[in-house]
Amino acid sequence: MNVARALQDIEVLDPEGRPQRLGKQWATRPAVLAFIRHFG
Amino acid sequence: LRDEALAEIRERGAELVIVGNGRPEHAADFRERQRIECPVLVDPELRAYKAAGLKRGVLNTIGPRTLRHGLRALRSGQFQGATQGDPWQQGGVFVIEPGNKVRFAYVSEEAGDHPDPADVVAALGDARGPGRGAKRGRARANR
Repeated sequence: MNVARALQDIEVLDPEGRPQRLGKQWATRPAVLAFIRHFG
Repeated sequence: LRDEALAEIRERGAELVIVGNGRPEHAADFRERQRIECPVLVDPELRAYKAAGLKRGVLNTIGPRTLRHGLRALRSGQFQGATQGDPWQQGGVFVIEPGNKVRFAYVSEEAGDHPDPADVVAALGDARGPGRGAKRGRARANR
């Protein structure tokens, strides 16, 4: 399974708490998607 | 250097997108502290982490302390070189193009395991075609 396809419909939250589809991030331009371990 | 790599990412028409585990206010705080303009998103239920195949154990064993090292390094401008505490020290990195094309995938096995930023940038160069010719020189200049 393509990881992008697996990720695209997952909803995450922006800093204001608004949900958004993760796939939106690479819909129009390439994205370097970096998963960090913890915000600290 | 951090700014250099970010600049190279954007030069290629791409954007750095940070996904963390936590609550939205953590992301807001992170952005503010880091003065980072790129999107910072949170995945409170770890759904994206799991879908990406990231190691659950990694998330559990890494605490705030390690990240603070990372943040300090980030602030001081170290981008690569430090084995611990650079901003690429994370659960994983993916370069994804429109159309769900995955150009680069890196899943960290343990703390301190991270991709070379030059490889990430090179994946963008490869993907975009015109960047291809510049890839080698850039990768070398980046070291």
